[in-house]
Amino acid sequence: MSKQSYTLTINGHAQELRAAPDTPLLWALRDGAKLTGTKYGCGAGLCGACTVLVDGTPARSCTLPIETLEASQSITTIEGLAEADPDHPVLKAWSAVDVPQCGYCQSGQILAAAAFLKDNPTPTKDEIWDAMANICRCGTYNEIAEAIALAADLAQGDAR
Amino acid sequence: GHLTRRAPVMAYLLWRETRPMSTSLSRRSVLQSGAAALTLFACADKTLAKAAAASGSQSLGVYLSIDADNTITFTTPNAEMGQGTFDGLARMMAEELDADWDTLKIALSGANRAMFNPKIYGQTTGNSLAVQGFGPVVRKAGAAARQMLRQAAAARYGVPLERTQTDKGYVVIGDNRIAYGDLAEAAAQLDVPKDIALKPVKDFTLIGKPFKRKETEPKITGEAVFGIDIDLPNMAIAALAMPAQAWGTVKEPEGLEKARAQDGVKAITPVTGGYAVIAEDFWTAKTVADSLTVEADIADDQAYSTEDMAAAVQSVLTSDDAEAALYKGTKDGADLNQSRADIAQSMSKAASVKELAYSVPILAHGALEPLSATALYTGERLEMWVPTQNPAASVKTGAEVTGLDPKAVKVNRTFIGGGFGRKWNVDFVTQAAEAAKTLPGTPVKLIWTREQDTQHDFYRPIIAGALTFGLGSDGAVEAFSSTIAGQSLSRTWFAGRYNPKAPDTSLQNAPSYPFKSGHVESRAVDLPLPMGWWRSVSHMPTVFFHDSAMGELAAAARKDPFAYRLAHVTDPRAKKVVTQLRESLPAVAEGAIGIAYADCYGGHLAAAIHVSLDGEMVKLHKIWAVADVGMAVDPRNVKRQIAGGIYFGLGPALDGKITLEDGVVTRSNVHDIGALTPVGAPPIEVALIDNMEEAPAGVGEIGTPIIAPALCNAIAAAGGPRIRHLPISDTLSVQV
Repeated sequence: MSKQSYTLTINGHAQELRAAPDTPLLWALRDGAKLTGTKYGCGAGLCGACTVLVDGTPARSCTLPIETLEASQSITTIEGLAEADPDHPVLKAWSAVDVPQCGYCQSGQILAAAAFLKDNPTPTKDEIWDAMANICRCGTYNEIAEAIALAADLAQGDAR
Repeated sequence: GHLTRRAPVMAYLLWRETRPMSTSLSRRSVLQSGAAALTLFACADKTLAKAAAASGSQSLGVYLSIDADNTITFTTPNAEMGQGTFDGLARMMAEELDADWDTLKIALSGANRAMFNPKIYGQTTGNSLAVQGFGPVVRKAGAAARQMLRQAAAARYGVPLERTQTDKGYVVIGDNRIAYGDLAEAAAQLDVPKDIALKPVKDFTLIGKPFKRKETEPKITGEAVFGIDIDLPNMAIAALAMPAQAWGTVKEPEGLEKARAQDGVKAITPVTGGYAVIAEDFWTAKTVADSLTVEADIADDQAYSTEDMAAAVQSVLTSDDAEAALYKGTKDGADLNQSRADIAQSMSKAASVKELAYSVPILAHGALEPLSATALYTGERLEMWVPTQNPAASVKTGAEVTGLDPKAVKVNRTFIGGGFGRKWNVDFVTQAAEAAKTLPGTPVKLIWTREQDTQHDFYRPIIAGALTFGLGSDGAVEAFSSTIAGQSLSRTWFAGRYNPKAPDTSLQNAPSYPFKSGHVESRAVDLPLPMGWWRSVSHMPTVFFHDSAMGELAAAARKDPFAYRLAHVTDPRAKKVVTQLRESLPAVAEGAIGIAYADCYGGHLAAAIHVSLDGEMVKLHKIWAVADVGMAVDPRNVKRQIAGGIYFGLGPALDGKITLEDGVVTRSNVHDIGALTPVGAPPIEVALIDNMEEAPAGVGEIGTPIIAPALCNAIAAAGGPRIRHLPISDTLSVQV
């Protein structure tokens, strides 16, 4: 398929990218926009390493063709989350708990956690374990759960 | 055009500090530019000064450089793939150097022969030997450098050495504080002291304390650079067309010329194991690669299915005259070296004899970062950026592919997005070099797909065991015989120095218990399946065999599972972990708790899991572990390594199995290889026995073997079947 021009709104900035219509957003971000914080893990929407937010909702960018996206949609990658709000409670919590091991899945975990907390700002422990579905081969699941609980506390503290 | 030597300044870039790509990287690479291939302990007089003269910063051997502005950089000899030695080894060096931890910088080494892990005979990262092997080396390096800095200060101020002290990057003489950076040049002129006392444990300020890892911030902001993230000017990206077959001779596919003419394709070239399509971006490369159907020829008698391989292993296991490697070690004074005839004699004296057969299937690594490597070939040089556990082999294969002298091959390491042993092999590095060679002057980044990563792994092979226990009238083990059979990694990967009669480290089979008399042997099976090192290697099967048996024997003798194990160990460290585990467990209303104990990688670990059965469905509630790993460089990280190791073993125990038909792997992605998701992962609590005076154990792998036997013991205790063949999903329903 020959390449076409697409305008995407990535981390608040309109960006024109040339790609074949079936190019997954993941590869448009990594090779086109040079945003490599979004990771390739499975290419099939199974592991969540490629998670980004599209209009605030977590999306698995490895199975999201660029032709299905509109310039009006707001795409947030890990770089955008960190840039827009370095004190984001999820980032602060991740740092305080010192979650990562190899770190490869963490961008996706953090974005999934941020979206989850927006929907459910005061989750129980069980709700956290049930909601998170991204794979971590190093097994940082205990730390992820701890960090999400802490992030919820931090966000509540900010709100008060 | 050809790139100059200076162009790829990303060599030592570990993370990007700003977006877009920062230009503030050169200082980082300059820091390293003079690093000479000399260790602090293997250099002639004045060599450090010579090395330093070539450098903008003051290089104190291969591990350490100190800038005039007092920036201290530790170059870690090991790969960082999640295990935490990036931080851990730096901590051990900084403890002895008395460096300021907050400002210390860490760099990843490339291949460097002078970085020699005495426990692994080289620089490879594996077998949980980073802290055990490199730890003492870098502690001595730090201590020697501190001593030399003190000597330099003493000479400058005309005071005896005893009047000098240090404080976080400064030598202190009375009221004077002299920065290490001011002394480094003079210190590098001094002879390296030979006998250096290391700090006593009681004086530690860095070792044994929980610190945030230095690479955490870049890893949570997306700025950490993994192998797949390398981005160089003018870079092309390669995808592979690989055959479905896991071995065999690759044939040229049809349609190559048409594929070469596709938009965006720069070249298509045969590489070892397939064809590389090199294009301007990955999706273009992958789309064209997917349009090629590559096949491999496999001789009829080599077209194995999983069942064929299992049968071949059983045939060797049960043969009366198979060649075997006998265990030669001792275990807490126990004699585990009896001949087959002697152990048969011991068994005949037992009150009863129990024979048990076990097996574990083929497993894939499933590291989340698919294999990726970047290479730039200029005709005179080859430079590579690789997430590798094996830098020396990366250099070697680069030199072989290009015909260059190994000195003209440079390997830069990146963070590794999960290794688990897979990135010890350098097949993907070979392919990247082969691809780059076809486009001189153009950096080529090769990326495997997840399916290729699954279907062209170096697998943990099938291993089967036949165990016989001679029991006393009280049910205690009097005689123990264990034979295991499987493909030998040592025989393949260390072919030049493999001794068929010597104990095979890739099929090690020693029990964690010092049974009164024992016979322990391993039998190598020849099969074409590519096999490799998989987190915890053969400890995973053998701990499963041994401790499942202990659980089953305890139950048959109606003994308490803790008491039964305690009756069979003598080491106080073993007794302590088992006892503390027993004391820490709650009573459970529903289901049952199963336990296991193991002694491996120099540490002791006891673990328990609470399960219940809902019909055929296994439900996991919680896991507990108690470990004695000796000196814990960072107790928080040690606990997490153990928990992560347990999860890494849990997924496969539940549902991990690679299957093949006619040499074709029929599993493809993370959903069918036993990769544990959070839904399948019960919470884990790990406790450590405080034992800082003991030598450190390896902690990256010790957790992995313990969970399968604990889980199968729990299932049996909860009224389920006794499972002796993994995965459990062959017998019961599970959730991974």
